[in-house]
Amino acid sequence: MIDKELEHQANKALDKSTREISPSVRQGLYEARQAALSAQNKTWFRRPIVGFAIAASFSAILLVNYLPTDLSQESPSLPQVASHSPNSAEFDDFMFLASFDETDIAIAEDLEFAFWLSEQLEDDSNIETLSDDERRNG
Amino acid sequence: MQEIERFLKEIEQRAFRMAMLATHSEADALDIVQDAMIKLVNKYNDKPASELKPLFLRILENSILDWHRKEQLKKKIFFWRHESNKDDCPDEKPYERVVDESTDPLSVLDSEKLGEHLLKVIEQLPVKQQQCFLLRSWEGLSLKETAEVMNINENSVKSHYFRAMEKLRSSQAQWSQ
Repeated sequence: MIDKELEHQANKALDKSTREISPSVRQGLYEARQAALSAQNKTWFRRPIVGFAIAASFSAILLVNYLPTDLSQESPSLPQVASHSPNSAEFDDFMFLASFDETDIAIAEDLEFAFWLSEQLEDDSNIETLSDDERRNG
Repeated sequence: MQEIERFLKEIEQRAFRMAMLATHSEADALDIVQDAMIKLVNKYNDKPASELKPLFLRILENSILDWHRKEQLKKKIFFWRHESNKDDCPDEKPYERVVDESTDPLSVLDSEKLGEHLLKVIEQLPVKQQQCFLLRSWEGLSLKETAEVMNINENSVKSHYFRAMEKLRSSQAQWSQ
């Protein structure tokens, strides 16, 4: 049998088997076709322009909700406690000390000690000077 | 009726037959055809009718190849429970007598049996050879069109087609003896 004849026989068998597709499969194919065609109508929201419009709408809603309504309005500040306090100098000292960290306090203590030591040394030198004068005056 | 709907109605049964030959399963073949229809409608709805056939066949062939890849992967992963699914089509009827071919009953019977035999051979062909044969011979696509649909070069189409025909020839020779 030559190739053309063989092909013809095969094609004839294929056509025949296609014609003999069962009613249940035909129904399945009909439903598949309808599903495909209805999917076409549902996919409008997948188009780029529609997607862009939806994204833009959401962005606009977010902006409206989260931006301050009056841009000229200043953000609220902390209450000015110190200015209203009767002992504002003490409060300033307290705030100044409170702003110190541990290193600053250690330096302050060292400075205080140095100041006390210098005072002590000055007192000692005064005593020595006085005693010398007394000896001279005899 | 829309152009695309008319086209789908015309081609759906042949598409199912092609998918069925490749998968040997009615359910899988229906799924493949439905997926191909959905892809065609969603992507190429605005194309003229003359361009729909090669586009649809290309989608269908790709879906069939994807199905084969998944099946091979499944067989590799679940190798211990691999079973042949050749008997998944209980609704397939035995072929009816062709009366318009010849008046000789013996000749008709021979032709019918040969056709049945050839269908089985086509069913057993490797998927690329099968696709190539169906597109070139059954769908009547040119060498170039077949290459485009299958996304391979024309020499590969020639090679697959030649091998498919070789198997059909040798099988027919065995059947005749």
